[in-house]
This record gives sequence, C-alpha cells and structure tokens, in this order.
Amino acid sequence: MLKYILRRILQIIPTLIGVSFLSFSLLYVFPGDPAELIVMINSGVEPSPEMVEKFRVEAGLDKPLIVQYINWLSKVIKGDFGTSWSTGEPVIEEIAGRFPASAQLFFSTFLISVAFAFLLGIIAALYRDKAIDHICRFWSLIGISIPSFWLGLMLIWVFSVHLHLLPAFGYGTLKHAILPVITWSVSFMAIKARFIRASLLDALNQDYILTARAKGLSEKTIVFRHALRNALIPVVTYLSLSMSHLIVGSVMVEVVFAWPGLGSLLVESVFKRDFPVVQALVLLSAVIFTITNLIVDILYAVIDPRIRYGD
Amino acid sequence: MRLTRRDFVKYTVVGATSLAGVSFLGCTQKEGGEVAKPTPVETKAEAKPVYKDTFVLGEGKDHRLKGGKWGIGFFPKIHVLERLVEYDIKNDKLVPSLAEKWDVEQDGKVIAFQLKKGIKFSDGTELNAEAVKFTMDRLIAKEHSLRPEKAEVLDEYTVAIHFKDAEFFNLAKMAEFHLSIMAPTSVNPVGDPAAELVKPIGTGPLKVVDYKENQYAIYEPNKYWYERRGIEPKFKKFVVKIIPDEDTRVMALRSGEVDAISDFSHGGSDYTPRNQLDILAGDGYKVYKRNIPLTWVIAFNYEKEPFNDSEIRKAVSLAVNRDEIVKIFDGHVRPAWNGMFAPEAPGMAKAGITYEYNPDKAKEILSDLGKEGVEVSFIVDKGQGDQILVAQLIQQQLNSVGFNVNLDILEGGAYKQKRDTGDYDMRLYYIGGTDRRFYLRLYWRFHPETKWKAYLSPRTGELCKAVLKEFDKTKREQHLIELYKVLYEEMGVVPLYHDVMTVVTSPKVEARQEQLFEMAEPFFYGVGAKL
Amino acid sequence: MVIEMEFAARTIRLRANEKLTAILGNRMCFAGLTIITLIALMGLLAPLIADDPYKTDLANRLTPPSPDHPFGTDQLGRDLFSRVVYGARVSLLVAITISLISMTLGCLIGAVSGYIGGYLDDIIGRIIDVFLSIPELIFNIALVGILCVSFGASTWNVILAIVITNWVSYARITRGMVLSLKEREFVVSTRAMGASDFWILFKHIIPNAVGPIIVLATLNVGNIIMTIASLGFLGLGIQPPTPEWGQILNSGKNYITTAPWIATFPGLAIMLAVLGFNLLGDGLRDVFEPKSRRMSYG
Repeated sequence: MLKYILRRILQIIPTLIGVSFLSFSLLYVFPGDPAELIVMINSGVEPSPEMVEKFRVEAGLDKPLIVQYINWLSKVIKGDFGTSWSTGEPVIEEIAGRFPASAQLFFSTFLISVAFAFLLGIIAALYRDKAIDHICRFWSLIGISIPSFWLGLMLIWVFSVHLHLLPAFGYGTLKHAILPVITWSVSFMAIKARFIRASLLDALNQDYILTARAKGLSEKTIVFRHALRNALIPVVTYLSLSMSHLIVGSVMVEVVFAWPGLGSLLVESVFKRDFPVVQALVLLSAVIFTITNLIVDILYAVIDPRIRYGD
Repeated sequence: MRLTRRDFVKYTVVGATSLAGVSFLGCTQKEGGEVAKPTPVETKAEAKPVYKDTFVLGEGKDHRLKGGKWGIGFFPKIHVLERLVEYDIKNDKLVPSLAEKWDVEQDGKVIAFQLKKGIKFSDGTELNAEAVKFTMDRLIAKEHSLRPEKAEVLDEYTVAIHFKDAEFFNLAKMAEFHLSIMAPTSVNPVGDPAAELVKPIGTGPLKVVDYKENQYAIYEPNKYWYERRGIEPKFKKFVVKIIPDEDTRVMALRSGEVDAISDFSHGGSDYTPRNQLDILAGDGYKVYKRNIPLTWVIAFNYEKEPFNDSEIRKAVSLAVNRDEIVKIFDGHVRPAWNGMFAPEAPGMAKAGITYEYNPDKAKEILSDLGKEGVEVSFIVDKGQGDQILVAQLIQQQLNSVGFNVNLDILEGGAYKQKRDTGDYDMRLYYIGGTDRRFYLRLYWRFHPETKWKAYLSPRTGELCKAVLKEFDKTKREQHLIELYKVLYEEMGVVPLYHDVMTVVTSPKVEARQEQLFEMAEPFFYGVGAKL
Repeated sequence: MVIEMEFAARTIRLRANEKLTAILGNRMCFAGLTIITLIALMGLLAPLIADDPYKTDLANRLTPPSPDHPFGTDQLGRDLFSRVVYGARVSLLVAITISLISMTLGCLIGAVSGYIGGYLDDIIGRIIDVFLSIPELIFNIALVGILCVSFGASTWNVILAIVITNWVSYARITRGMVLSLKEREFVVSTRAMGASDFWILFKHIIPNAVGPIIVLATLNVGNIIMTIASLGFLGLGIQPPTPEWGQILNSGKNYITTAPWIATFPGLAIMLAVLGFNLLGDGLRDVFEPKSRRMSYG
C-alpha cells in the first residue's frame, strides 16, 4: 500500500515541476523584454534603457533562465510569491485574504449540487427511458449549455430587480450567497447528474445484478445495496476530480456577483496587469488540481484493491 | 409502495446535505467596515428626523491615508484638510479660506499669508504659521512636483512662501488639493517633515478614525469645524467603501450597501457612468450634479501622420456631432460647441468661438488632401464604460466622412503604455478639472514643460506661460482668450462635451445641493441618512 | 498497392454510410444538427435578414423589442437582433478556426508521439499532463491577459490563447488511441508483413480513432463557443464594436433594470449554440461508442 502511495507521489512530481516551470515562464514566452515590460507596468512610463538595465540586474533577470527558475522556485516553495505590483502587499497575503470567500462558495455549491445530482441521477437511472428520465437528461443537457454568467444575470433580474427578494451582489450575509450558489450549482449538478446516471446504469448492467434479480431480491435492495455501492466508486472519483475543477472554476460566478473570491481576484489582476498575482493563481490552481487528483487516486486505491495491484 | 422508503431516504439525504451546504454559507466573515445596524440617534426634540449613526459612501479611488508620492488621497484632502485660499472661478480670483489676506511680493516670487486666528486642528492644536511651514517643508522633503522653494515663519500667524519663479500660478497653486494644510501632529516624531505619516490631521469637517488600504476609510466629525460653522453633523461615523469598478459601485448603491456614491473629486475617472444617471433617477435615487470646467476632448498624436496636419484635425472636428454624443448621457453633460472650456471658465464667454458640425465639409477636406480612407488608431481606456460608448459613436461619425478608424479598447496599463510611447493616432482625454484645478490643468496640458500635455505648439506654449505669469486679471483674461483662439485655429484638440461632478444617493438620504456642492468637489459635511 | 487503397476506400465509404444512417436516426444528433444548421444559416444569411450591426441611432437608444427591432436596441441605438445575428458569424467562425487548428496540432502531436513511442512519447505525455493540470478557463484568462500586454488587444489573442489550452485534449485522445492500437495484433501482423508505418497509421489506426475524435471535436466546438463568450463577458475577448455575444451581454449588465433585453438575447443565443453542439456530440457519442467505453471528456 505504502509503495503504491509513494509511487503515485513520485509520478506527480515531474508534473508539478512542469507546471511550475510553465507558470514561471509565462512572462518569457512572448516577445518583448520582460524587464522592460515590468518596469513599464510598475512605473507607468516608458523606461529609459538605464532604468531597464538597473532593474534587470536588481531582479536577477540577467542570469540564465535556469538559475532564475531555481531562485523563483525556492522562494515559491516557502510560500513567497513575491509582492503584488498593484498593492505592494505580499501576493500570498492577498490570496489568503480572498480564499475564504471562494472556499465558502465552493463548499456550499459542492454540497448542494452533489445532493441534487444524486437525486437526479438516481431517479433518471431508476426510471430509465420513462418520461422523467428524459426530463432529467434534458435538464442536465441544458444545465451544461447554459452560460453561468447569463444565468446569474437572469436570476438577478428576477429575484433582485423584480421581486426585490435577494441582493444582487456582494458578500456578507446568507442572502448574498443564495443566488451565486444556485447559479453555480445548476451547471455543476447537470454534469454530475449525467455521470451518476451513466455510472449507475453501468453498474446495473453488470452480471451480478442479473444474479441478484434472479435470486428474487427487491429492486430497492438491488439498487441501494449492490448497484449504488459499486457505482459509487467511479462516482466518488469523478466527484472528487470535479471538486478540483470547482475549486478553480468559480471565476464567472464570482465576477457576476462581485463575490470577493480568488476567481474575481484573477480577473482583476489580469486587468491591472498585476503579473505576480496572476502567476501565483495559475500555479496554485494547477497544484491544487494535481494534488486533489493524487489524493483521490490514493483513496480510490484504498477503496478498490484491484487498482493497487494492477498498476 | 416500493418507492416510499427509498424516497424518504433520498429526501433526507438531500435535505441534510443542503442544510450542511447552507450552514457553510452562514459562517461568512464580515469584511470591510462595519455597517452598523441603524440605531436611533438620541432625539433632542420630537420634530427632528432621526438619522443613522453611520453614513456609508462608495467611492472609486483609495484614500491613501498613509501618504505616498502624491500625499494622501483627494477625498481626505477635501474633507480632512483645508487650504489657505480657495478659487472662485466665476470671478477668476482667489478668495480667503484659512488665510485672511496675503501680500504678493517680487511679482509673485514670495507670497506672505496672514492666517485667521483661533482655528484649531481636529486634535485641538492650533493652526499657525508653524503648521503651514510644516506642510510646505513636507512637500519639499517629498519632492512633490508642486512644492515651493521654502517657507518662512514671520510671526505666529504669518508665513512667507518662496517660489522658484515669479508668477501668478504660485498663488493659484495654493488653492490646489495638494497644497492643503496638515498639522505637524500628523507625523511621528511630531513636526518632522520627513517623518512617516501617522494619520493626516487637518482643520476640515472630518477626522480620520480608521483605514484599510483599497478597502475602506472611516471618519468622524471634527467638532471644531462644525463649531466654526455653527451646525451639527447628521452622522456619528462616516465610512467610505472603496469600490474600484464603476458598475459594482452602482450595484452597491442599489443593494443598499452604501447610502450614496460619489464621483472621484479629481475628475476624469472613477465616476458614476453618466448614462446610468437617468436610470437611477427613474428608480427613485437622488442625483445631484454640478457643472465643472472639465472638458472631454479628442487628443491627437500630432507629431506624426496624419494628425500632424491641422487641416485633418479640423476635419475630425467637423465630423463630430457633439449633440449626438451628449444624447448618450441623456443630456446630463453639455456639448462643447462654444469652446475648449465650459462657459463659466475665465474668458470663455468673451472668446466667441464656435465649433462647427459639417460632415460634408469634413469629407471635402479629406478628399482634397487625398486622404480618404486614411487609417487611424483610436485608443480607449477600458475601465471607463462611458468613454467606450463615446468612442464607438465617434468611430461611426468619422467613418461616415471617410476616415477608417480602428478602435482599440485597452485596459488601464496597456492604454497608458500606448499613450506614453505615442503608439496611437487619437485618444479621448480631458482638459480642465474641478474649479481649483483650472490653472493647474492649464499648466499640465499646455505648458511646454509638462509631461501630460494635450497639445503643444510654439504659440500655445507661450500663451500658456503668459497666462500663468500674469497677476492682473484683465490682462490674464486677454491671454486666455488668445490661447483659446489659437487652440481653435490650430485645432490642437477637439472638444466634445463639458463634464459634471455627480453624487447619487439613496432616497433615504437627506442632502442639500448647496452644501454638497459648496465647492466643485462633493462635500459631505451636511448629509444624513434617515432611518 | 492500388487494389488495397481501393479496398480501403470502399470500406471507409461503407462504414461512413452506416454511420451516417445511425447518426441521422439518433434523436439527439438530429436535434443537435437542426439547431446548429439553424444558427449557421442565421450567420450565413445575416446580410439578408438583418441590418447593419454597427449603425448607431441615438434617437432610439434602449428601446424594447418591437416590430422594427425584434430584440430591441442597445445603448447606442444599434439593432440588437442584427448584432446577435452577426454575432453568430463571429462565434462560429472563431470557434471553428480554433477547433481546426487545435485538432490538427493536437492530433498530429498525439499520433506521432504515440506511434514513435520511447523517450519522445514519455516527454510529450508529461507535457500533456502538465497542460491538463492547469484549469482551462484560468489558463485562458491569464494567457489572453499576457498576450494583450505583448501584442495589444485583438481577436488573434483569443484564438492563440484558446488553441494553447485546447490542443491537449486532442493530443491525449489521439495518443491514447494510437498507443492502444499500436500493440493490437492486426497492426503487429501487418508490420510483420512489411507494411510501412505510414500505411499502418492511415489504414488501421486513423479509421479507428476517427470516431472519438469527431465526438470530441463536436463537443469541443461547443466548449470553445462558451469560452469565447466567457472571455467576452469578462471584457477580455473580442472587443466592441464587433458584435460578440459574451461582450454584448457584458454591456447589457448595467441595464438589467431598464433594458433587460440587451442581456437576455445574446445569452439565449449562447445557450442554444452550445446546446446544439452538445446534443450533436452526445448523439455522435452514442453512435460511435455505444457502451460506456468512453473517455471522460471532462
């Protein structure tokens, strides 16, 4: 078991390094001298060659790329992502400051959408090919096609502008969170519902189910005791995978509702050309994604022993 | 039925997880300034209306209460500090504020100010010549671009300020934001001009209580100021929330998160989108506005083709229908048909200039010069929704007479970069500002030595210098009129419309136009939010 | 050689026919195709059915839907219906361009990598992993921002940024297919017979890979349309006055109280377009991959 875990961890290390290098090199990928660009953004004026040279030496940009990367990486590992070009505060503080808002939105959305996704998925699988199945599937399809930012605006129009029931945006109370969570949940649960249905149907098609039916077990027992449990494995994996998607996918909803989370921080920083923050967010989201996947893989191996031995 | 128990389990699971999800929402952290639940102010008489203790304003720019290259922000400069003089634009003269009179010596190289007596800073210390000297010394220590040469204390209430050049501009500068008087007790150690700013202490109606950069600033009434005026404040705490995005600010007002939103008193940015004003008024919000001598113009890169030719610049001016532009803003702003500056600016009324709208003539000019279809790049700052609309309209108007306008909507940094490197043909810009900035903006836009110029030619540069030097009002006016005429002849910039300064409040807010706009900048000493 | 090519061609044609009938018979495909055709037609026939989307008319700004202006007018008096219709052109053209470029790039890299194997394949596999680890939208937003700084705003920034994140899905699938098919018996035996690599790739591997790739491409176009609209909504995508659905939605955000039509109709258009491609993609998936032997398309 331990060997498996170690092996998986070793496997993701090159990926993490690759991701960090990609984030690091974002500024160098495109034409133009990064030193000049940085000085220009920070001072707001066209820099003289002396200013650029001075900055280049100060910031260590005259050293070879690899050395720069290693310097950068050693700082990043300690949590030092540099200072924001717009506020002058350490980037890590800004990110930490906005994290709770995103986390809140994420957890609520995750829990609610998972609950409803299960509901929809199970109903659709159980009453397969009947009217309700088609309705659920159609609803799922609509859910993934609907632009979340549009849905948010429409909900604002109905509930905020017309009915004056809920606040249109902002952060602070329960009421503020209702619309963003509903908006986000809709698209999120749509995808999950489809998968749960498919997974459950898959499980229901297995041979052992046939045996169970032949034995005369009730539908209820079959579904809940056998099929669901086995379907749960891929579903849990999938859900956890999408959890990482969710962690990092809040951008549109946060922007529409002016929710002060990491997603809106990304967009703001891109506009302010605050590169260190953008770089940090890209890197962090990738790292969270990778590590979540790793944890899920390990959990999966714990649940399903077949995986451990097969790799 | 087979289903009931299954359903029951399902519903419980769904319900439980939803509850869990919802409870997460409940543990939100309160961010930013505390918006207190409205508690009744102790009523002294039954008839007096009851106000909220805390008034909340939404603004777009941080208050910089820790100082910085330009000192503290504009809101505190107006509300926490006061200046030696103020500028009366209608009569084009400087009027007493903290100084009751002054002597101009050596043609303006030295100005000796005599202060009013008995004025206290918000911490109780006295306003005296030492405090003024401290303020000037601090500007000098910080190498502020508007700093004087030195300040000399002549006696307890008289201070002489020395300037580098002998010009009228020195006196006009004293009405400027940046020359607002700060108490020596604002820094630690006290009185040291180079020391770190603890918090700005001034003679204005508000005093600083708390500050979080880019998030909020909290003030309280300065009782000494209100005593001087003989009135009572209608709030106990004044909170300003910093909301940089203009749309979010409007939303904050609509949701009740703030009681009012205000334009940035600097003018030219971070304002409430003008095309939202009627919508807000229609929804019951109160819109207060005041015309300011700020004009939005099309500025050119006149150092390269095609706009190095004044004839082509004139074609642009002829092609632009200013009345149409003003319609975007539902008529809240005034079309600039009669000149570079708003009618109330010095010399405008007498200048007698008219900008014409004649698209056919514009077409003629272009075809005569063989410039039909000439491609020009038009850069616009993305952060200003109003300007994006104006730019699209102008693009249409110009394209219909034969230009080929490429609209480039850039976010702030990219916009500044292209502007500073001259990588554009035309852009939207503003000249003038609030009243007190009239001469300063003249300097910043037309003086040969400025780096933010709108247009410079040998004639305009000389005239600008002459205006700024002249103490005599009549002669100054003559120079101004000539400057306006030359700008028109050379069509250095194309004026579009004269802007306003606005404040929008919720229906529950009590405010008076005369108080709010005592000066050109929004002045909130007399507002109150009813419960 | 010629006979074998002919044989291959005939088999492909036969199989194609089979698939075509299956496709048209599938309900979802049919629905999807209908929607997409309608939208495509709308875009193609734009000059016939709509007015100039750039023409301003300030006297009639912010008017609600009426016979003259079926979708109302925006804040500069432009006809919203025309802007939505021309917007279809913009979205479809850009999305298909991106899709084709990423498909070519991704499939080529994936196929070559998978087939050659060895160190190259390891490295490329790692690179694919790295790109897949960065959430797409976040990467797109960051890339477009950086590109705008380097190159100034333009539609090509959007195209380049999305291609950079998009090629990996194609590469991954192609590589996966190539890897799995490479070791299958019929390939091994064909190689033993002396057939060239190229031939093997063409005759055996690609026809098998075509199905999933087509499914991926269809769903992908829907995704791209959504991404373009998202970027447009954020103000990072295609700039005004070019009519793009997401950007129009963004400009309508402020007018939600007085002119809600500006935000409503472009959003409906986005939803319909994405729905069409999703339906088609789903249906195609049923046709090409009947059981749950499906790769997760995320």
